[in-house]
Amino acid sequence: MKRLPTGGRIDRAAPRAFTWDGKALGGFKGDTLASALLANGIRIIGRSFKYHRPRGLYGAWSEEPNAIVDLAWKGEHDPNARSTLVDLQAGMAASGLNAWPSVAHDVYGLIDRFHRFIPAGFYYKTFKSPRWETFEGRIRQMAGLGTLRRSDDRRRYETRHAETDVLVVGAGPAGLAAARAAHAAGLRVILADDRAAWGGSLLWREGVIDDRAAADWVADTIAGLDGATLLPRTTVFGAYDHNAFGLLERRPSAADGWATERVWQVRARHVVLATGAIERPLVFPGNDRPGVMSAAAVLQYLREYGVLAGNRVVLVTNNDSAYETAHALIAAGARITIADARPELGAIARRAADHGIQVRANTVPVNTGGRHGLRWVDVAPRDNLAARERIPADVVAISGGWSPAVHLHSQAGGKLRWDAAEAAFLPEAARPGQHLAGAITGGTSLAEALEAGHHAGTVVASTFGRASAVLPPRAEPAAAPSPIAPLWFVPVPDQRQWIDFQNDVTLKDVALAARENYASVEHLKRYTTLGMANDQGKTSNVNGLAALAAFTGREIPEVGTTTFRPPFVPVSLGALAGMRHGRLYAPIRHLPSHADHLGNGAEMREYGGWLRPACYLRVGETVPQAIQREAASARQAAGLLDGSSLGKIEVQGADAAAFLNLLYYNELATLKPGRLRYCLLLRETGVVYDDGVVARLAPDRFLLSPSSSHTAGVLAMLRAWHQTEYPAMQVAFHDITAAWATYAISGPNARAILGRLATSIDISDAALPHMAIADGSIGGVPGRIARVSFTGERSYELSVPASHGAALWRHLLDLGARDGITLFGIEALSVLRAEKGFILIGTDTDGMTLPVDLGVTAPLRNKKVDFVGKRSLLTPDATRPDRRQFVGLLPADPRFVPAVGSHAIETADGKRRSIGWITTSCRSPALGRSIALGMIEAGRARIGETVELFHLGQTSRATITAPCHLDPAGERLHD
Amino acid sequence: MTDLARDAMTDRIGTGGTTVAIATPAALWLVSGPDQPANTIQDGSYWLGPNRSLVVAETPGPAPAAGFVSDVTDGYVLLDITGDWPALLAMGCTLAPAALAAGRCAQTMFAGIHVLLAANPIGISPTGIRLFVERPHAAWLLDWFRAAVSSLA
Repeated sequence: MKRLPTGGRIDRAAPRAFTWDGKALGGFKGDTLASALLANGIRIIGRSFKYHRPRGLYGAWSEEPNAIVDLAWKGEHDPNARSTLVDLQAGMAASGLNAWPSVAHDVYGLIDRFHRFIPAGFYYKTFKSPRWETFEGRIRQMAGLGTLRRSDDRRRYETRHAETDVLVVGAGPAGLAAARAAHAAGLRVILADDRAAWGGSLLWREGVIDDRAAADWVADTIAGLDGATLLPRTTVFGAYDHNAFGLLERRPSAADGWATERVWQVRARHVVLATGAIERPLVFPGNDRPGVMSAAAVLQYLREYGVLAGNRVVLVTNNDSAYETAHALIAAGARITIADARPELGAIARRAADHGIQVRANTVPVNTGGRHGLRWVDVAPRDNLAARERIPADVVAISGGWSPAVHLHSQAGGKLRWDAAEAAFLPEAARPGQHLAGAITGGTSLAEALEAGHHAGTVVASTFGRASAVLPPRAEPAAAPSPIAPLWFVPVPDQRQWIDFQNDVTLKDVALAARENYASVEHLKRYTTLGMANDQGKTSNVNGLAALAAFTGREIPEVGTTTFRPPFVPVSLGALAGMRHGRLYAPIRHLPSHADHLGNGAEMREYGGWLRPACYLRVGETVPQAIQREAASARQAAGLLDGSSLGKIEVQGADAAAFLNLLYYNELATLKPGRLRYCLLLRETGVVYDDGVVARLAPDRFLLSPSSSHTAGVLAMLRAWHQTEYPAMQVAFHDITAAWATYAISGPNARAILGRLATSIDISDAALPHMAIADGSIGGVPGRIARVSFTGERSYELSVPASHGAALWRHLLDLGARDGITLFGIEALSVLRAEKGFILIGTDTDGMTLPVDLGVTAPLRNKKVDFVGKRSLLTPDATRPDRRQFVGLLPADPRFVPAVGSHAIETADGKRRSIGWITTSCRSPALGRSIALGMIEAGRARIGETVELFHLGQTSRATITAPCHLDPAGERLHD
Repeated sequence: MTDLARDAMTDRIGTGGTTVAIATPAALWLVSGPDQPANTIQDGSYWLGPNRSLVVAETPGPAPAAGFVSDVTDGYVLLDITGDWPALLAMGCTLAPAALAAGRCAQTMFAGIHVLLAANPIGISPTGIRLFVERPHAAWLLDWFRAAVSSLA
């Protein structure tokens, strides 16, 4: 193998230095990493997954199963780079995988000597006892592919969305003709091709189109697609419902800071699939030896990159397509022998023979040899395999026919049919909005591909009522090829013949699977791993199912195919995430006083989609210490909490009161303007969905305060019930949460601090008693003060327009300084509410909690009108006396805080049983001991009893109490 | 005390002719009441759904008289995006630019956030779009735009 002095589309004036396993090598701009390795004589590029057999290049593009490498460049790293898809960059450092110390000399290659003992299914049968995990680590170390580095992925990824009239997949002759016709009709066109250069097979196959060289026609066509979206280096990896497609665009030359990969989500009115076909390997003994390559790949390396893969080439084929490779190799100076499996030489073969090429009909390969690469190949007549002849060779170029790239068609739900003449699965019919052109429909000549592509483009145009303004491109009609002679494997016993190179699946493995009754191709795939991993069986599937058909006495169509699923090529998680990583991982809401919280030392955490202060750390303080300090201060003096995330939904209309009374568990019709009521909102199942305070601002106007994370859900629920059940009611809903900043000042000094606030609102107890609300001005801006408490202390919630929130926050801190006001975060709030036995929805409740479980029974007894969930509260299950009920718990050891989730255990007849669990636990600074809340079976009847707690193998004891641990009479609300 | 100061958000992100700038209209109101054709902008009223709209007053003026009205002036941040806004739009949402003909608006998810997009409303460049995002999400979205526009240079 060598680089020829001329030829190829590489830029020889632009050398690219890189390393392979630490050795300095050189290539050129325009090379792939694979072509550069081949040009440098690197034969062994990988080791096989299971047997650690040496592997070289088989293919030249996405079908390549072997040449996966570890690749580092510019501080970036890809542990499983597919060298055929990597544009060579200066400074790349590539090395082999799955080998030690190197792929050229791999100690683990010894495993191959024991191959008889590790056939397909070996793992499933052997590593069962005592547990698979016992062996897993070691096996994974010896098998598999690359290893991630622990450093961050510094590459940038993006997402693009696009909508188009027609997406053309593949820029070979058919795709280009389709794009050209559709574009000429004025349609919006996206043209995507996974190669860096346009032309598809025209990059390495000769042809004349419209009386000029194919390369010139390609260039002219691309230049004429003005305004179309042209996406080279872009693989359409998935076809989804309604012509939605996923595209992976690789941008290796993107400027620093730009995305190197982009995932496009394209919605196309029409798609033209001109995806071509993939050359199949031949299955014969020793067919995995480095130097055995696809005949089409040999031609591509020669014509695209100027690399002669071998000097002595034996070309083995069962069809006509490989003969172009033979002629090109001879022109490049190689010695060629052709073994054609077909019994009679066709016209193309006879022409080759006339040119002096040795062509042997009815001949198949029966073995290969060479320690670190190919040295010879044995061939024999197909009907007398014992009559072997050894031919020296450094490359065996093989062609077993072509498998149309039907992946996207099938992913979209398209059916396949077996075409015996083509020896391939072909699309049965195009899906709606889908058009097929070129080799995806079977073997086509250049002229036929161009015609089919142009036709597809004009058909698409006609659906828009347009006609294409260009004539179809023309090429010389080609003579019909001689028929292919399927050769699924060579019947040589006791020698391994590889079907799936990447997963080390041999013909024997398929035979074993068939003997063990894995007759379904889907079962065969799982049992042998045939067609799995990142090449997804592009070269192995058809040969595998043909072998299964042979071993089970069936025809190939009876066996069928495995399911084609996205992605067609591996897509990195980074590319799928796009910009959604780091601080942009997920949208997060900020409080109006966000900057002040940071300035006050807040430990910010995400609560229900909001970034909120968990606590405010002082110098030298831990988070638990800060929480205790803050909770204690709120009880002893005053605390200030940012409650802006609390939901605010305005409800207005003549029927607002009646409507809310139908929705809420609690009675709301009797709520007077200016007053608040704590309410539960239930699902139809009676389960508590949310809780919160409802304020009546006016006879026809209410303000709801759902939980921070339930605001959108409550709003949706209100709208759903209004639109579906009560559309005649005069009521409307506005979510105004974002418009307001709300701060709670809580504690015995709250009233004194608020007394210094410039407000038009009378905050005397007579004017603003507990559970009252009033509008007015605060600091010169419109505001509202509500007397409501989630801490059990005298509390006031002040609301002002959000843009004034930060100023009010700072002002309240100033006002409270002399009264010892302390900032407190969500964690301290949770301690304060736990001391009072107040529930936190989603923490103390779950998808089974009914109001009666929480001890809230009065509305069910007293409310006169129906309400959502009422019927469910009257069922036998809802009224069981042994339902889990909300209670308090006092651990026997006051210093021990039992973990949330600890189970309360009851022992009966020697068996332990869970009777409930702890939902909240903490250390109470007010009580100087640990406390907990929980749901316990018939809990209220057990108050005073001691229960055993169990968590992760540890046990403790606690006494069941009423939920409220502090100030059960609520006197502190009025202090 | 002096009146509570207003903390008006200001920001401007620009690269290569594409800019994202915060607009500051005088007032915004959510209105439930009179209907208008779907996805239209009429006299500063942006359609949100049947009988629901967001009314924007570019200059100070009285609140809408009809219907149920809530002042949400501080509830939204308005971002005027000019330059290659279709490319920026394509990075964040599935809405096709063609759906945003002049004088039209649409609610959609942008970068995972519920937003209202409007084409060519009064007061901004005829070549731009206006994006309404709820104030709590604005800081995160501006960070997103800072990262996104760097690809448009």
